[in-house]
Amino acid sequence: MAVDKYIFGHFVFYIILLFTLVLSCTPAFYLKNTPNITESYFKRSVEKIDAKIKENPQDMELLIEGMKLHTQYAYGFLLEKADRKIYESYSTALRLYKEASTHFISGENYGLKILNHNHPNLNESLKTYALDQKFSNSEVPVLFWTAAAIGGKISAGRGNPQVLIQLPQIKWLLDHAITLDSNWNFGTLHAAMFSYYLSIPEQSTETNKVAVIHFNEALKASNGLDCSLYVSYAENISVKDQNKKEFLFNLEKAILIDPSKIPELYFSNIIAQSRAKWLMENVDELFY
Amino acid sequence: MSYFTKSIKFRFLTILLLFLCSSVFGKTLIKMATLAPEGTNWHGMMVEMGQKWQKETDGDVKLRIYPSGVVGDERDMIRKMRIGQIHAAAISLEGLSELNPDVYAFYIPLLLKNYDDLDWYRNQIADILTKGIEESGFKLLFWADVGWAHWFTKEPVRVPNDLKKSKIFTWSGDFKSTELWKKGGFNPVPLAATDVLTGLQSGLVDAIATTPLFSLSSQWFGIANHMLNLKWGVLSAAIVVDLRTWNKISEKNQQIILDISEETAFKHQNENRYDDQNAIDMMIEHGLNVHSPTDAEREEWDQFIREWYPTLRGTYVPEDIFDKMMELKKERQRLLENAN
Repeated sequence: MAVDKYIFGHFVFYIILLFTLVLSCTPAFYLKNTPNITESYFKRSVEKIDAKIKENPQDMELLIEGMKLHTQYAYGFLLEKADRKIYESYSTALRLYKEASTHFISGENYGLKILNHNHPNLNESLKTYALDQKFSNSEVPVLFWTAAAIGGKISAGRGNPQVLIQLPQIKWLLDHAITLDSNWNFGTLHAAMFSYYLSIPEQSTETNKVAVIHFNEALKASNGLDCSLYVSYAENISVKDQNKKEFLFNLEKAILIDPSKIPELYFSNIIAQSRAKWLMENVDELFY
Repeated sequence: MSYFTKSIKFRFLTILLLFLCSSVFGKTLIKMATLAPEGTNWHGMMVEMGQKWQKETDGDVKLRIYPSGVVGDERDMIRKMRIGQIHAAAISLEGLSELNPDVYAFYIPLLLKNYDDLDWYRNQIADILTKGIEESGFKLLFWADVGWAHWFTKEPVRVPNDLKKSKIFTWSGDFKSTELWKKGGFNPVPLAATDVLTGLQSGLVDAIATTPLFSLSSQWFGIANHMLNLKWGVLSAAIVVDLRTWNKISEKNQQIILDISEETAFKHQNENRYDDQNAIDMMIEHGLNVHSPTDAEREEWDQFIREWYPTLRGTYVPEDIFDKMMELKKERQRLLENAN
């Protein structure tokens, strides 16, 4: 009887799940309403794509999908969880950072494999930052996702010199992408560059100026609808200046944006809004 | 006296007692500042330490960390500790020298050859350092090592004369060391730390003494791509707590904090003392040229430093501690010779 009830309970759950899936027609719906289900969905997708790539290692479409999924999953779930967990349990956070690292490495490896396909000397150029590579417009997404995976790997590496040394590679990849299509995906490249300039160890008036230029460009290209820009600004600039009023203003701005206005930014907007809410709850931890 | 009055009095006394207890040894929030960026090992070490403090003191002591220099530079941190805006700081020798100039003893170039030396000298002068810091109103929790400063230059530097031809970065505002370099026959160029990369790119400076890990993370090695494999000096840091805050913590909790701090320092040292070498290996892969001095070149450096020491005494390093370090140097040499 108990077993019947259990099976029935699960059956009902899956029926409801299927119904909701059909109704909503988009996994993004779940990200906002049931983040745990979305995380499981992403995790399974990552495993599936890895299996497919294993069978067809030269399939460029699969590699692109794999690069994106690994990076999105690590950024959207693992890194986010780790950043929050660090305030409660450092050792748990470290485990999550480590797990995120492995996904970022997969994302990076897939990205580099795609780029290497058309650019055999890419690895050498990436080491010396030589400007000897000519990319095409169709490669912009790959340049971006590879840069994002490297950025995530550095972030999750927590100062590990073995990954920290790759920091200029992010700029190299993003510079090439911006030259080709500076407004790609509603200013995502500029938003990434903004984060890059805020994260480099040597902060100067000059780097801050460049960061703000990229912020404004990203703002323009997204029509002010990219939540991550406001969250980045609040976390990096307002906290640094200890400007609590500006911090809260930017986070509120991020939260008030309708994330469905730009479907291409939906995933990152939902993640950014969730981060904004968490930051607001922990405001006392950041201002003295 | 009626029951009612008695009850009121009893309640009043209980509340008063509770109030007194909580104000003497109640919950303490320690706001700690550091220049260490969020997301680094250094920051992680402090986060982990704070969580242990909170757990082991049953929530009586909570540590809140303000990383990445949001509180200001180390001098700002000390000023803000003095006015009670923050209560603790993880600061380098630069900041610590404000509390006790004797910490400049660690700045004597080429005195320490390795971490064994550092541990030995530090133990010998521990009381002097701790006492001076306490007299300034601060409790020293523990020392931690940041790494060894090496010379990173645009042209190869093998002997002191090579360095004398270079334009050496010095901190703007640090007139003492600028003067000292000049007296040693060098060419110092004071710059803000944030302008070093631009300075290296434009040729304003072409030599900088820093730790390999910092050279890697700031990408200075990409331009100053020659490293002299000689430990010029050690960069240390320590965690200090304002004594007014420290004294609000019960003796039992103070001991817990000290034990955890010691354990943290030990763990951190074991895990990170060799980060320098990892960083050097990574930079070599990315084009860094490392020059290890020959015995003759090493002797040239030692000779130069011996001649430069009298200039350091009383200017950069206070006379008493300088003399103490020189005495200890002899003792250390004797000990090492006997051990061999």
